[in-house]
Formats: sequence, C-alpha cells, structure tokens
Amino acid sequence: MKLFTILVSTILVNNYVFARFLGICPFLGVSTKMETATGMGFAVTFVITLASAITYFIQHAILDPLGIGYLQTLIFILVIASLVQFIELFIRKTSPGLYNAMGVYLPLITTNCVVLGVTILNIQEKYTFIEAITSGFGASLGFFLALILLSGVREKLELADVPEALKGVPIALISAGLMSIAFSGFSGLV
Amino acid sequence: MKLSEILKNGIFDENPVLVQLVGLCSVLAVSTSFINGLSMGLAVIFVLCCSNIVVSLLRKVIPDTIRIPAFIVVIATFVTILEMFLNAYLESVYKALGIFLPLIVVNCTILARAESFASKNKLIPSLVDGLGMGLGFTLTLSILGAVRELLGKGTLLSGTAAEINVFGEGFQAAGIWVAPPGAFILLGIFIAVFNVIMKKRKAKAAE
Amino acid sequence: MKETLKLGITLLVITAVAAGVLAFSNSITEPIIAEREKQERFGALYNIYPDAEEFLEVDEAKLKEVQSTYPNITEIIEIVSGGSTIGYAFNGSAGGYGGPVNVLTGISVADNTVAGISIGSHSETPNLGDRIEDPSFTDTYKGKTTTEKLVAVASPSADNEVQLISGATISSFAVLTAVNEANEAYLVYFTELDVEPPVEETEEEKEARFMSELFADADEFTPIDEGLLESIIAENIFVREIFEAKAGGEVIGYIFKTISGGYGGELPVMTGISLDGTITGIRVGANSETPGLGTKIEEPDFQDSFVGKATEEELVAVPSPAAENEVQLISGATVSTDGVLYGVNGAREAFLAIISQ
Repeated sequence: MKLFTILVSTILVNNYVFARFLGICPFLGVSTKMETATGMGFAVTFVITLASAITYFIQHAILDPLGIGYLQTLIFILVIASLVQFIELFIRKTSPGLYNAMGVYLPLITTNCVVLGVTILNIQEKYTFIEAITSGFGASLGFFLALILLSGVREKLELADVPEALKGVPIALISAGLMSIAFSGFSGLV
Repeated sequence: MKLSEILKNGIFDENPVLVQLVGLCSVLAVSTSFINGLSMGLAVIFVLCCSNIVVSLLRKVIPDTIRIPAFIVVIATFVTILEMFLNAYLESVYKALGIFLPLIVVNCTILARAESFASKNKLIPSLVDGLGMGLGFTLTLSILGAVRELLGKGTLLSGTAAEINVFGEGFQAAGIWVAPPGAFILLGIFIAVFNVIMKKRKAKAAE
Repeated sequence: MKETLKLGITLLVITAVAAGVLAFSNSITEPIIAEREKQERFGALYNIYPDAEEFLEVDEAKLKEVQSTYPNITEIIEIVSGGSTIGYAFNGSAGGYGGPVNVLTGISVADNTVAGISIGSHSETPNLGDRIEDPSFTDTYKGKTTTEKLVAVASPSADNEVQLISGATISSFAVLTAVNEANEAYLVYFTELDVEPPVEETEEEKEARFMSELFADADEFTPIDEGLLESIIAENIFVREIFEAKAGGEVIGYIFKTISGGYGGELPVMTGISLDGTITGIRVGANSETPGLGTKIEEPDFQDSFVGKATEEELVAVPSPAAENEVQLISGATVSTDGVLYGVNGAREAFLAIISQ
C-alpha cells in the first residue's frame, strides 16, 4: 500500500516539476515538440530508475558503513554521469536513429536536477530498496507527464497570437504556472 | 575581453537565468523571499568562483576526454564543502536552501562556465567571469525573491531581524505567489520584461 | 589501452584528491553539527522540563512494545531529576494538511498531566497551519489531563480542552491526535492505571457493541419479519433495518438503523426504543461531519439527551432540553443535529407503526 502512496505522491501530489521544481531546464528545453519530449521522457525514466537502484546500494553498502556520508553528492553525481555516458554509448550502438533524434539532450540528463534530486531524496526519506525504485519510477513518470502536458500546450501556443515580449519561454512558464495550480489540487489525495 | 566587460556580460547579456535559462530549478524553488534568493545566489557565487579558479589553474593538466567528469568532481567537491560549513555555522541558511544546496552541482551554469570559459582562459578572467555570472544569478534571484515575498507574504527581509511588514500587520497576501504556480508565472513575466528592456538597450546602442 | 588506463588513473587521482579535501573539511565541521543536533533534540525537552537533569532513552524492547499498538511513536525518553523519574516524553506524529506533523509530548509523572508539547518538523501551510508552532497554541496543552481524551475548542478552559486554530483545523487536529496518542501510550504502558489499549474494531463489532449498550439486558437481537420491514420502509424513507431486542426469549424493545443526511454526507444512526415507548439511547455511526463541531453528535453530552425521551410526539432539538420530546441542540452544528433528528424521528415513527400492528 505504501508503494501505491509513493507512486501517487510522486506522479501527482508532489509532482517533481510542478511542485518540487526539479527538471525545469529540460522541461523547457525539450517540451517544444511532442516527439523530443517522449524520447527524453523514456530516457529519463530509464536513468532515474536505474540510478535509484545503484545509489541505494552505494549508500547502504559503502557510504553508511564506512561513515563517509559526506561523499554522497560527489559519488551520486559521478554514478549518474557514468550511467548517462553508458546509455549514450548503448543507444548509439543499438539504435543510431534514436541517438540522432535525441541529440544533445542525452548528455543533458546528467544535469537534470530530477535525477540527482530523486536519488538524494530517496535516502532522506529513508526508503527501502523497493520503495526507492518505486519513487524513482514515479518521479520519472511525473516528469514525463509534465513534459507531455506542456509540450501539447506549447505546440498549440506556437500557432496562437502571443504578445511579442511573451513569446517562447515566458508564455511557456506562465502556462506551466497555471498547470502547477491545477496540480496543486491533488494535494490532500495522500 | 576587458575584465569589466566580462563582468557586465554575466549580469546582462548572458544573464544565466533570464537569457541562458539555466539553473531554473533553484531559481523557482528558492526565490520565496529576498533573503533566501540572496543566500542561494551567494552560495552559487562561491561555488562558481572556486570551481572556475581550480578549473582554470588545472586547464593544462586535465586531459580533454575526461574533462567533463573532472569538472563535475571539482564542482561537487566545492558544493559539498559549502554544505558542510553551512550546516555547521549557518544552519538557518542550510535549512532554507534544503535539497537545492546539493543540486547546485547540476546547476548548468557552473558546468557551462567551466567548459566554455574557465578551461580556456587564465585565472583572473575566469574568476571575474565566475563573479559576473554569479552576480547575474544572484541579482535576478534576489529581486524575484523580493517580489514574491512582497506579493505573497507582504513582507521584506523576512527571515531576518529586520523583517518589515510593508503593508501592515493585518495584510492578507495572496499566498500563491510564494507557492510553485506563482514562481512559474512571475519568472515568465520577469523574462518577458527583461527581454523588452534588453531589446530597447540594443536598439539604442545601435543608433 | 594504455591511453584509457592513463585517463582512468588521472580521473581517479582527481577524485581521490577531492575525497581527501572533503574528509578534511568533514573533520572540522562534523563535531559542530553533531553537537548542535544534540542541542536541538534536547533543547525542546529542556523547554518542557526545565528542572531535568538527565534524559534517558527508554529501552528498545519497551519501545517496540509501545510501537506495536502505537506505530506512530518513534521515540520515548525518560526524564530524570534528583534521582527519580519526573516524566516521559513521546516523539510521535499524525497526518496534517501538508504531510506528517511531528509532536513531542512531555508528560508529568507526578499528576499524570501534560507537562508541555513541542512541534517538530511539518509541512503545514505558512502563516496558517504553521501557527501550531506558536506558544499561544502549544501552551494550551500545558497542565491538561492525560486520563481523559483531549478535545480542541475555540476557547479552551476545562482540563481536557486545548486550542483549535480556526482556519487551520486539520493542522490543529493533527497535533491533538498525536498528543492524545502519546497520552494513551503513557497510560497504558507506563502507569499502573487500568487502561486498556484501544482494540481495533471492525464496523460490525462496533455495531454489535452499540446494540448491547442500548439494551444492556438483551441477550439476542433478531431482525423483524421481512414483510413487516418492507411495509415500514415503504412509508419511511430513513429506516433501513429493524431488530427485536430480546431477553430470555421475550421482546423488550426494538433497535432501528436509519440513514439520514448530515452536513458532510450520510449519517447512520441507531436508535433503541423499549416496549414502553421510551428511547433507551442513540448511537451515531461512521460519518463525515466537521471534526470538533458536527462530530459532537458522537459525544455523550448529545446522545444522552435522548435517553428516556418519549416517542408519542416528534422530537425537537433545543438549547436547554427539558420536556419529554426535547433533545440537545448543538449550537454551531444545527445541520448535523437535524440530520440525527431525522433519523431518530424516523425510528420513532417506525416504532409507532410496529406497535399499532
């Protein structure tokens, strides 16, 4: 039951983009087209879920027993950077088409706050292994959801009559703000 | 570039938040008050300058192929040092910044400056670039924080002894401005306004 | 290959230097942080027990025992002064508006009262729910009883009344729940008082208990004849089920289960009426009335005002019930009161219909 609560919480109630402000840069950068948004969403889901698992082990098997918890930030980000590097190589070998489509966004997953944020929060919330993976999965789904929603809106905004000064990022941010209000309606669900 | 130009570049032309649109996560989350925005800004200036200094000093030593991971190690180290010292000596700031303190590591600005400037320039210019970018970040963040605080809580300098209730004690502010939606909307407006101002400046300079 | 190895080693060296620098800064800052955290934990305790000399963690086994009944309690600390135990502090939590609210409840052993409370971490709304941190709120818990369940009201005065912050009811109730739990845990596990830990009741068990309470002498409850029930329900929109209360095979009264509308939703009410036409009592089932206000219909003060009332005339609610057809009106909760009345009056009419058979 707690797993379900974690899922609902990370996807809706405490959505990582709309409520926790993580992943904004790619959120704005990739949400201009549904296609790139979907590609990014999948890649992020894979990286976060795997990173949640690996960082869990590292924290509990290495950092905690040796009392070197202060190396957490350093080690976690190195794990994430390596994971992304590895996935980049993997995709390049197995699906060059996808690799080209994703372009520069793949390495950007390293600096995606959601990834590092989720791994650190998993430890702070003292989740078990399964809970950590669920939280990571839910966070990426929430991110994915936010991405899809905003890219849908932005595709429409391209054709709308937006005042010059607001075109592009400003109107996207304001739209995100309105969506954030909508998502805050989920609070009280869990 | 002249040092003064480097400095101005970071604040205006390539303002990390309003022009480059990087590090937005921290901007939205920590701009809940002037003091919070200022604290985060100063933290970023510290990490940015230290990282730029080290990267610039080591630029001939770090092999090109592993430069990104190396930069990340440098940045992460300074962020961790900052975390430790804030936790020990300035606990209220540590708590206010919360998870966004370790997240400075993935603030694209710092990595971007290391990659595009500090690794290719001498020590002093790198330091000034860090200062300029950091100042641009801090100014934006502080002003945004002040506006959100004013609209959302009716105070200024909340969190310090000098807290002022600008609209009087009984003022019922619209809490939405200090909440996530307000952050998104205000930042959007800020960027729009900044764009308009910069356009006007460029038009004037071109005449 | 040699190239990759060289790169790998360079990176390793850089990381090792970084780790070394961090280990050094850690050695400087860690003791300061540890000391401060200890201060924080015990600071709150010193505020509650200024005369305390020692704080001892209650032993693991006892903590686990308490947690088996009260899982929300994470820590129990024994307060010692002058060689004897003067209090116990319970670190617990309850669900608030924005997440769990952590509350430290300190109890005085001398007179079994609340020595004081301290609010820990929470995510309540700034300027609204977070007013639970104000002394004006937490002070109202000082000196209150632990042997009675505490209730939150707008103007607390009695020994069991604490502050309810208007506009922040959910946050206030989170604190109330946490403190009541701590008090109960204390009474059950740390005193010799004969307090039973709460038993988790299913809805059926609860209903069965209600029925026995309404007719203490009854040994059997059987549903009435189907045909009769149907004919009554046809005329009566509130009645759902009717039971005969029997003692030694003889019918001594009836129990009517009705569902009427309250403020927050459905109101299930159980009414007991004895053969001579007097009400033996009422019980209100699971409802969604406003906590602290509408939920007063669950309290004895309200329900007892129905006991002994007559069924010939329609029952009405008044501020000071006296006549045979008058029951208690809860001011500020008229809709909830009316909801109950619809149900009870429905039971009354059904009773009259049965005995006219």
